[in-house]
Order: sequence, then C-alpha cells, then structure tokens
Amino acid sequence: MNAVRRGRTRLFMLFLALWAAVVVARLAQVQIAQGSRYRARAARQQERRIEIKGSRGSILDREGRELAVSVEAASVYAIPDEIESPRAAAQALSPLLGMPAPEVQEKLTSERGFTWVKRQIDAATGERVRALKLAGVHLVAEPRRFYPKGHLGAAVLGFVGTDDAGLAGLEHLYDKTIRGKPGEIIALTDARRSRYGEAETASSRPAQEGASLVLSIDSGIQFAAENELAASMAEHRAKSGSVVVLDPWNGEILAMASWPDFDPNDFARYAPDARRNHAIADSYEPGSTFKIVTGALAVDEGVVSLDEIIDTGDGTIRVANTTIQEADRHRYGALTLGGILEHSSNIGIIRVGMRLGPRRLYDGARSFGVGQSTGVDLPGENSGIFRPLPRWSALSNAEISMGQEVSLNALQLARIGAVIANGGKLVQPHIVTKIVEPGGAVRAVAAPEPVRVVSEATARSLANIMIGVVERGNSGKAAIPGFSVAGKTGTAQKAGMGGYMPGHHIPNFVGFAPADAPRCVAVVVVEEPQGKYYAADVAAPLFSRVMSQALGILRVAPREQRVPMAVLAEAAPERPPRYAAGVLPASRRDPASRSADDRTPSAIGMSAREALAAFARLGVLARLQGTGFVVAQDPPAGSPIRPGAVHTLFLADSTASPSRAGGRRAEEAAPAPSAP
Amino acid sequence: MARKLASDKVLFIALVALSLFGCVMIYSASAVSAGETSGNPYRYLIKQIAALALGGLAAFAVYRTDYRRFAKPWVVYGAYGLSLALAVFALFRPPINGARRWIPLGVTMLQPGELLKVALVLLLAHQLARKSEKAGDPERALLPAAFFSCLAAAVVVVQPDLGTAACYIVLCAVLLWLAGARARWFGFALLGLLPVLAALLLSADYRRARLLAFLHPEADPLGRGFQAAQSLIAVGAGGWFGNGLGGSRQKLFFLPFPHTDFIFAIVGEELGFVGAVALVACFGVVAWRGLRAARRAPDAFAAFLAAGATAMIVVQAAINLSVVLALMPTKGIPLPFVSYGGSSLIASWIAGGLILNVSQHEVVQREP
Repeated sequence: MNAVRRGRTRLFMLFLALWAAVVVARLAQVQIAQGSRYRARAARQQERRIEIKGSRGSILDREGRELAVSVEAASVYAIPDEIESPRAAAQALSPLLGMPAPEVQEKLTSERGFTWVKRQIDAATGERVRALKLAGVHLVAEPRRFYPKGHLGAAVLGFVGTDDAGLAGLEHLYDKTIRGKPGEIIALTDARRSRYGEAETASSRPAQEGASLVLSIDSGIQFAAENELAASMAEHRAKSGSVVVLDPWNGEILAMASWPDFDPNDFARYAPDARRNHAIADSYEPGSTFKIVTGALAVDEGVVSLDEIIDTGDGTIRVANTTIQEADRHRYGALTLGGILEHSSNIGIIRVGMRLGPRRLYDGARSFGVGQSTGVDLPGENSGIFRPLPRWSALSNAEISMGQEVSLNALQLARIGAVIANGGKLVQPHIVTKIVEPGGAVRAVAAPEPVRVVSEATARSLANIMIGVVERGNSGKAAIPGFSVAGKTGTAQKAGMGGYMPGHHIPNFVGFAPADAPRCVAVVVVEEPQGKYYAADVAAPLFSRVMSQALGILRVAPREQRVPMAVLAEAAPERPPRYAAGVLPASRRDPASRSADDRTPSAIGMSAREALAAFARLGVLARLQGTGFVVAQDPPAGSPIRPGAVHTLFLADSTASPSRAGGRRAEEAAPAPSAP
Repeated sequence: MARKLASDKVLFIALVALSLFGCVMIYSASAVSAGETSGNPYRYLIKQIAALALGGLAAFAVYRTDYRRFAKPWVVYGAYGLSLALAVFALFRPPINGARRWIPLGVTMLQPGELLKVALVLLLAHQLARKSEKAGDPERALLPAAFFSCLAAAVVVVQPDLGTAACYIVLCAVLLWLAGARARWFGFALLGLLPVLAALLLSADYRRARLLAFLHPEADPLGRGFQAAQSLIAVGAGGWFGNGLGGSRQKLFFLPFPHTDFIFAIVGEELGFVGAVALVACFGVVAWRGLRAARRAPDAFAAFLAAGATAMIVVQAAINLSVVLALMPTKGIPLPFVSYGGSSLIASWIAGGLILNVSQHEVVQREP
C-alpha cells in the first residue's frame, strides 16, 4: 500500500480539476461573454480621442487668386489629470498665451478629462509652448481660416468662427460644401503620462479637406471698387455705401463692395454694421434710376414712341388730389422720352407711366425682378418692397413710375441695368462659378438661362437714351474718356416714419460700358452723404472711377484704340494673322480666362499699322512715338501683360539704323490691382 | 520492486515550456517599464534567465542525487532551519515596499520565504513518511507537521506576507490529506484558524481594504479595487485570441506588477482565452504527472516528496490565477515558473527536480 492514498489523491485531483474548471469558466466569462465590455473599458482608459477639424476649402477669385485659405495653427489643450502643478503650469503658460494666469489655472484644473486652453495660436507661440514640456499640456495642429487679402471682399466672403462654422457670407451659405470632414486622433496613452507626440501622427481617421469655391469676383475690380468706394465715403462723409459690378451677359458678379468694411481675420473686433453686406442687405427707394424700367416698359408696350413729344407743362402734375413737382421746380417743357431721362423729368415719366397703367407697370416691373430676391448665392438678401397691385393707392402708379413706393437693393438695380445692357434679358446674378472637390474634380455651378424681359430693340433704344443721359444729360461726371458710357442717376430721399426724412439722401447710379458692347454693369449707392447729395455729383464720379478701372482690368480697348476692321484686314492680307507663340487673340477668347502666361509680343520691325493691329488683337493699349517702323517697345517683348498697362512703341525711319529710342517706362493708365 | 527508469519527459517538457514562456511574457510585460525606469528594457528578462540557469543547475543537482539522502534529518532540519533563519533575518532588514521579505545579495535579492516552501515540503514529507512507515499511523505526524508549518507561517505573516503563510498551511493540509488524516482534523484546524485569519485580516488596513475590494470590486476601481479591476480589464480585453504577443496596453502602467504576480493578466490580454486556457492546461499536466509520480513512488518519503512538491507548484498556480481573475482577494503569490522572481523560480525548479527525481523510481501499482 502506498503512503499516498489513492482515494485521497483522486479527491485532490478532482478538487484541482474543479478549481481549474472555475478558472476556465471565469476566463470564458471575462474574455468572451463580457469581452467587448472590457475592451471598451480598456479603450476608454487607454485611448484619448480628439476630434480634429478638416481644413476648409479655399475660396478663389475668377483667376484663381486666393481670397480665403486654411492655414495650420496650433491649439493648446490640457489633460488636467496629468498636470502635476496647475499653478506652476498656469504661471508658465499665461504670458505665452496672453491669458491671465487664474483663467489658465481654472482651465487646467477643470473637472473634465480634456479641456482646450487656447485654440488657434500661431505656430511660433505653439513651439514655445511645446518647449515648456509641461506634463498634461499638449498641442495639436488645427486649421485656421486666413484671408490673405484682409479686407478685400470681406462682406462677400464672410467669416468663420472658432468652432469652424461659417458665420456669414459665402462661408456661411456654402458651409456644408467647403467645411472639411473632421477626423479623429486616437492617442494611446499609458497610465502615468501620455505620449501625444507620437499620437499626433497616429491619426486613425484623417480629417478631410472641404471643397474649394471659385468665384466670379475679380480681385482687381473688387479692389478698385472697394478702394474708390472708401475714398468716396471719406470724401462725402457718408454713412454707408456699396458698389456692384456685374457681367451683364451671364450675371456673374465681378465685384461687390460694401462700406464700412471689416477684416474677416479679426471679425470679432468689428460692429455688426461693418460686417453687413450693404450691397444686398439694404434696400432703398431707387428714385430716378427706376425711370429706365418705366421707360423700357413703355417703349416695349408701344405706349410711347421714341420721337414722340411729351409735354411736361409747367413742371407740376396733379394726381389723385396731390400735386407732384419736378425736382428743384424745373420746367422742361416739351420732351421726348430721351429728354425725360436726360433731365430726369418726374412729370414726363409720370405721364409715360400713367399711359402704361398699373397692371402693365406692375407686371413689367415684376419681370425686371423688382420686389423679388435676385436669387444670388449670398445669404441675407433683402428683396425690397414692391406692393402687390391690390394694395396700390391712387398715387402709386405715378409714384412708382419715378421710383418711389418701391425699394431695391444694389444688386437688383444692377440686374435691371443688365437687362438694358444685354439686349433685354434678365440674368440671375451669381458669385460661385465652380466648386473644386479636394480630389480635383471641378463642378461648374450652372446659372439659369437669362429670361427675355423686353425686346432687343427696346433695350437698344433705352441704351441709346442712357448714353444720352451721360453725354448730354445731368450725368456727365459718369463719363469715361475713350469709352461710351450709358447710365442713369437717382437721388432718393430716405423714407422714415410717416414720410421722407429731410436731409437723408441716397444718391445712386446704374450704368454700363462700353455702351455699344457692354462688358460691365455697375451700380453705386451712397447712403446719407453730407454736403453734396445729388447723384450726379456723388454717385456718377464714383461710378466713372470704378468702371474705368474695371474696363482697364478687363483690357477693354478704348474707342480710339479700337482699330477699324479695314485696317486689320489690310495688315494681314490674304493670310491668317500671325500670333506670338502661346498668344490667343482677345477676339477669340474669354477675357476673364487670361492666364499669367500672356506675354507681350514683339513688334520690332512692324509698321505702325501692323503693330497697332497686333496689340489690338490682344486687347492691349499701345501708344506710338515717332514715325516709320517699330525699333523698340516698352515694356519689352516677352514681359507679362499687365492689365491696364499702356505699351509704348518707338518708331524710326527704316533707313536709319535701328537704335533703341530710350527705355522710359510707360506710365500706367490705371493702377494695377495689387493684393493688399 | 523499484525500477530505475528514465525521468518523466512529459513533466520535464511542461516545466521547461512554462519557464521559457515565462521569460517571453516577462520581457513583454516589463520591457516598457524597465526601459523607462532603468534604461534597460531587458533588465528583468536577463535576471530571470540568470535565475533560470541557477534553478536549472539546482534542479539538475537535486535530480541526480539519490532522494533518500534528502531524508537524512540533518538535511531536512538543516534546510528548514536555514530557510527559517534567513526569513527571520529578513525581518530585521529595512523594509522594501513596506515588507521585510527580502535579503539583498548584491545585484539581486533573496526571498527566503520561497526557499522555505521547498524546505517545508521536505520536512513534511520526512515527518509523514517516518510516522506512517515506522508507526504505521500518519496521523502521528499531525502535530509536528502543524507545528513546523505554523512556525513558518508565523514568521512570514510578520513580514507581512499572508499569501505565503497561507500557502504553507495549505501545503501542510494537502499532504496530511493525501496521507490519510481523518477529515475531522481538518475541520478542527479550520475552526482554529478562522479566528486567527479574521484577526489578521482586520489587524492590517491594507488587508481589510483588499478584502473589501474583492467583495465589491466596482466600488472603487481606481482606489482599492484598482489592481483587480485593471487585471480584469486586461484579461477581458484579450478576447478569444488576444492582442498578440507584445500587444498588451495594460502593461503601460495601468496594471501594477504586470511581470510578477499579475503576469497571467498580460497572458490573457496578449494571447486571449486560447493562450490562457493553454497555460492552465500546462499546470494541469504538472499536477497530473506530479501526482502520478507520487502514486508510483517506491517509498513513503518519495511519495510525499513528489506530492508535496507538486502541491507546492499547483496550489500556488491555482491561487495566483484566482487572484488575477478576481476570484480571490489580492495576495502576493507568484505564478510558479512564469512570474518574474529569482527565488520563486529557483524554489520551483528545486521542487520540479524533486518530482523528476522521484519519477525515476517507480513501482508497478498493484490493486489491494
């Protein structure tokens, strides 16, 4: 018999087996039945999840210049549990972050496991915070919105809050499109101290960039519009103002300036009024500018012919027991429709409008977009007031004919101008032309087809009348040397409680140029100028300055520089014109799509005629000096074509030895648009 | 009747496998913390390999020596006396981590309590064999066995090391049980020990806290229940197949002592249910082959020696696994062969050597 009892051994074995079974059962319970629960608990304590914003897509102007971009910035966050001495850490961080130490300390002692200390600090400060090597204080790269051109186009672009939400303008309206998809950093940590340095690269779900917007805005024209508007605002000490420049053919907004303006990089510093886009958010009674609507409708309906004489009598008219007078008690006598607009005769246009009658005036004005939002892709448009027919008073027909009892925003007025400029079609103003996906796919944003409002003949008639307004009428200050300009002034009184407020005027102007082949429609509105307040003195000069620069930037050649077709034909007899390498003639391309590759062609050896023709094809202004053949040119051949620059060609007799006739730099006709 | 046979290869392979597996797991569990605290991620691995070499040498020496030599009283009492003396000596050393458990020996530290386990097995086997062979009544060994076990337990309780003390008592009980002591004695012993245990539990704050944490593990997962909670999180996160070798995250300072007493939690996390069950099975093999050797031993001393050595390994393993899985309150008991600890590894290998030694001598069993 063995000393170790068999039975007892078996019982002991059984006991051990049971114990092992309990252990295995427990393993199964913990690892398999409740495994996911424990895994979740493990993840909770081992991982820190930090959401990372995807950078917003850029906003570019029509030539691809950056108006809004996302730049990398550093954000400081804290894991309060890991901080050894919140007091010391707060003391160290306070001067770097520019925050009071108690405020920092409060954040560092937050009950939460994760707290932002300061977001979006610049990279240099970030490096200095990193160099402190404070336990529990970490940095993470976060994109920040940056507007490289500062104030430029601020009212259109809008701005972005710290939480990456577009708060105004295009940033707001296209927020979903341009906002990046957030990613997540999963940082593995140990219990004592975390290692975020490694984790920053170990992002489990990378943030995705948003789509970029390409605008119809031309930075150069925008700059000119803002610059001139600001100068005009200062000159007239006005309350606010706006300028809209529109392509009359397709409704693309080339510039939209609003004053007062703001810097979207630091938007919080500005009052809400400065951040308002006055070009669409404010509506006002247009006054006389509206007379082109009445005139166009009357011509289109055939209720008045262009050579018909309309008697404006003694400068008063009695409508519904109310006497309406000409401005400043003028007496114009007998006028044609052109004369009525040239002199801006209230009596004349009322007679024309009364002939139309309420029904046709109402329907016609509606078809011009009056009283309706333009549908522009900008938020906060004020669609103005245009009462429905049943609510018209006995006076309404007369009042509306001369632009009262109706209110418009600047963009709506520009759209009306475009109808006359483009031959009678209502365009849909828009600003975003393309959406570029992060992958590079480009989606064109289609604007609705223009809708015919009046006949082409009517539009041409009104255009001619508007040319007359600038050339012979009261709007001489809107003229641009070298170009035919069509336009109309309006000086509205500001409506207040119970009537018009004396001394509160809104001079405005709508016009387009070149009148025979319009490239731009522009509207300027100045609210409450001090001193001079007639549109002819306030709005017309501003229009002229903005429009002349816009035409320069678009390289529209002035009348004198436009070479008759006969000359062109003679310059290139029997064979297609030769173009410098890579140069596409302006006549064959969209002037907006000018690329930086455009170079000045060489005119050396050409006759004056040939040289002028070659430059005219490019839409470049050239000035001749001397006679004979071209021996030198300035700027030299091959230099990039700068919008608005005037090229000087030096000519000499062919028998004389060609010598370079001086390198004097040509003066520039218009300041080149420079990014602020 | 006794035949000299080759030693038990199955057992030998199981022990070697456990030891090598232990080295791998120790490196996995300790590399990060060792690298951070001492700059050498291999620190614990190197020390464990050195201890493994020493343990292997000791096991080989024990294995090659005729086991009857171990039955000589001077060997038995000498080993016990020396181990106990060292344990007492450790009590007068300055405490390390709040316990007077270790004696520094240059680069390493000796834990006499571990050696005392083997010495106690030897002494108990000697006592039981003498009383059952000479007097024919193993119950006569009851009092001396209880006395020496309780003496050893008393010394380590003072360290304080309740786990090791409990281990001595359980060893004594298992051997008496296998020797055939009547069940009533165990009842009496239990009745006698309960008040002592209760007094001990309530006398030290940390023991009371551990007990409370065991009873209510979720009550304070970051405080008293921290170890148990973190251990369960580690094991649970392993799932079926684990995070892969080296894939533990809990070892990054969440789980205290990941390479010593809680190494099984890391095994569970990195190798999953499959790996953990394989490890349990490995100890099952040790129990089976060890008790088989005891049953086939040619004499009483050899039988009790093999049974005691087996019990020493298996009981520690069972307690350790239960603690890791929060089935028992936290105790300072390592997982034999696997946990980091030179004294434990050497003591375990001496025990292994004893079993292998006995396994060479087999008698053919005859049913009575």
